[in-house]
Amino acid sequence: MIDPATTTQLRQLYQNLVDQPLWPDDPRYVDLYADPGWAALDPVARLATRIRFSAIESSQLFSGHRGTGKSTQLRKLQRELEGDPTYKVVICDMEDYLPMTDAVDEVDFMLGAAGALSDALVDAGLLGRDSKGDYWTRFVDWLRGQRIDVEQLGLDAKVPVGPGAELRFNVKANLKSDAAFRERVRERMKLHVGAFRAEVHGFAQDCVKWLRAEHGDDTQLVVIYDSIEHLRGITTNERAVAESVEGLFRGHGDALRFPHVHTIYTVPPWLRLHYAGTDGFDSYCQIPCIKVRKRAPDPGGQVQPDPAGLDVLWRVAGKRGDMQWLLRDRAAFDELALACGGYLRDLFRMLTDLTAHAALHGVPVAGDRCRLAIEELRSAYQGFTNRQAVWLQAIEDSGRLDIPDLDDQHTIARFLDTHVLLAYRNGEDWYAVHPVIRELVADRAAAWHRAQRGQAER
Amino acid sequence: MSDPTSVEWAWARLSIHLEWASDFWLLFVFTDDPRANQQLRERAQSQLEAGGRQLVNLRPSAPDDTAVRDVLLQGRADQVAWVDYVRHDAPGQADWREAWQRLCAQLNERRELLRRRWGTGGIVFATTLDRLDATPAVAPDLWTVRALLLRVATRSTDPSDRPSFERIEDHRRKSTRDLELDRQAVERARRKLADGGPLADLALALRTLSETLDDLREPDEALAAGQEAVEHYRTLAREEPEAYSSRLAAALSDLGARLFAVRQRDEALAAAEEAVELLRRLAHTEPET
Repeated sequence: MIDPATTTQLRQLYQNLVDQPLWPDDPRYVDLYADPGWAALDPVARLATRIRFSAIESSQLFSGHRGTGKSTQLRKLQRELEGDPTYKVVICDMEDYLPMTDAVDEVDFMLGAAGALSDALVDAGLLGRDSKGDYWTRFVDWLRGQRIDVEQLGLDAKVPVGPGAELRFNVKANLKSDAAFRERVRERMKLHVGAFRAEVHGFAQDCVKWLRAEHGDDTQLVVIYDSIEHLRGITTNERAVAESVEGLFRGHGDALRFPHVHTIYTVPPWLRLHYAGTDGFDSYCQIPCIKVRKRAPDPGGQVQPDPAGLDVLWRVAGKRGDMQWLLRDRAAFDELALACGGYLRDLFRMLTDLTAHAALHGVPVAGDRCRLAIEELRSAYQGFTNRQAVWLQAIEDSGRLDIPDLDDQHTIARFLDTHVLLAYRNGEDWYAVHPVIRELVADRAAAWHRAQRGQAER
Repeated sequence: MSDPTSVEWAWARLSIHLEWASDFWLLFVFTDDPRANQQLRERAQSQLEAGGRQLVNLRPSAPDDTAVRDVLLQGRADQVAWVDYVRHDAPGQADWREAWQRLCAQLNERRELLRRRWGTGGIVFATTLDRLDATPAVAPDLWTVRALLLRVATRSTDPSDRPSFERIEDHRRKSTRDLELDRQAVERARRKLADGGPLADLALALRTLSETLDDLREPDEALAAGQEAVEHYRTLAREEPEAYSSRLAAALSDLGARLFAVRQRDEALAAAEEAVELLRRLAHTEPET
């Protein structure tokens, strides 16, 4: 029977381990990059520096695995920039404006981005709540100005704008939920893409002017477009959606650079597969996983733990609760930390599991139970074939995402998305297989090679 | 309670989570056994109701039923939804698998909406074990924020948890046989055989037991009994082909189904083909059979 005090403490720990974006002033927040050894990796510092040093505008890409703290870092960036009152920072969640399971093109995205910007400025109280900042109304007016028949676009869903006001076309709702509407817009806008790009850029600059009229001539606008990395298809259109995202960022960097505005776009980590240069963006900043192991010097070489990374995880977890009390000793914690590969969500997941176990069996948790937690984590990463294991092994050995066959790159992109592959950084970006399946990958790759040799001999 | 894939283990873990979770959560249960799913759901419902909360049971009536998704997107603040997709596809079909993938993909992009609509409540997504590997790719955002992953591979071994037949809601039994009596019949036939009794009695008892076990979703035991039945019928058919070839064909046909149930598809096909060949020969030699 576990005493009530222990149960209470375990319950508190269980709730503290819930993974969610934190504000920098949250007591659970750990500034990973305050450590001098990590400062060079600080994504906020890199993004903020680029913004501050850009004379007029900037456009940056920001990436990282789910659960690596992107949202927390973006909040930190917002706080840091807003320490200077000339910066007005808004965060736009693109999940509210675009369907995340359909292919996207420049027109949809620009329309969603402009609408999101106008909503964010009004919601933040940075502009008055009159109609001048309402991009959705402006878009309909622009269409009419281009002699594009609004009714032909199927814009028949209307919403009232303010009490007693006339009904306005609900462009926002149609954009998010009506695939036929998006198709019609693309079709009708084919000859107007350049003009539309100018229109959206014009709106963004108008926003800057209005802000400067309200808040001073030195006001600068920073717009963070979040959740774009959530754009992915379902099984039948996964590749088409991925290609559309790549096409958007590879081919339309100029369109996504808004004059006199600092923009940051969150993108999926697999975009790095194809991102060789700047392509119209000023920088590509990626949040790596916490490096709990050193890069092997040779393919198949011994993997050594990285004490600095393990210390960071110990500090992060320690902010959530007493790990020594839960696990008995630091060595037990390090075993979990190595198994998570520096991916915080997986570490918290295992710790949560062990906390629940302790509620029934007391603290500290036995070593074999920790190993069982690792085994349970492994069960969530089994979705790859023997052939895919060969690619994964090649990436593990080289640390690079070199896949010769273009068709396979989408599979690798999926592995990055689902954390089968993890991204790290020490001077340069490098990649490795999630530690819990490293041996399994090696075994399956070997099985593939054996099968190939067997076939050849026959 | 040391088996991490047992109902008991899953319930212990789930119970603590239901009691301690304080913010929106979602979790996954993977099991091939509808009764294990039912047990977990009923226990969760009892625990929640004792704490003044409700469990919303969401079970699609057909693969193209969109009502589950609609209810999830509407949300019920601070309650718990149990989404039941522990539905198996018929051989050669993929309707339920595709329905699961569609639901996951559609909800994946509405993760924040689900969080807002369900408040401090949560969602349990339950489906079959063969969908475990594919789910992370179909719903990476939901998967990433999962609070828990439970895999239940066996029925509860706690006799007090064995559901009575009346509580099996969706399990349409083909027979009304009593398992204990069928087991006893096999033991009795073995004893008789040891004393010189007929092999045919044991073969029949095993085939009957296999059918009952299959009915009760015990695929491994059902397979073992069915395999032994086939071996005995082969012996009998060699000695008396006219009397036992048709029974061997029937036993082989049954065996094919048992093998398919445990995903030994090649062996299932072989058994089925042998049964068909046997019946063809019988039809040729005995056209009125």
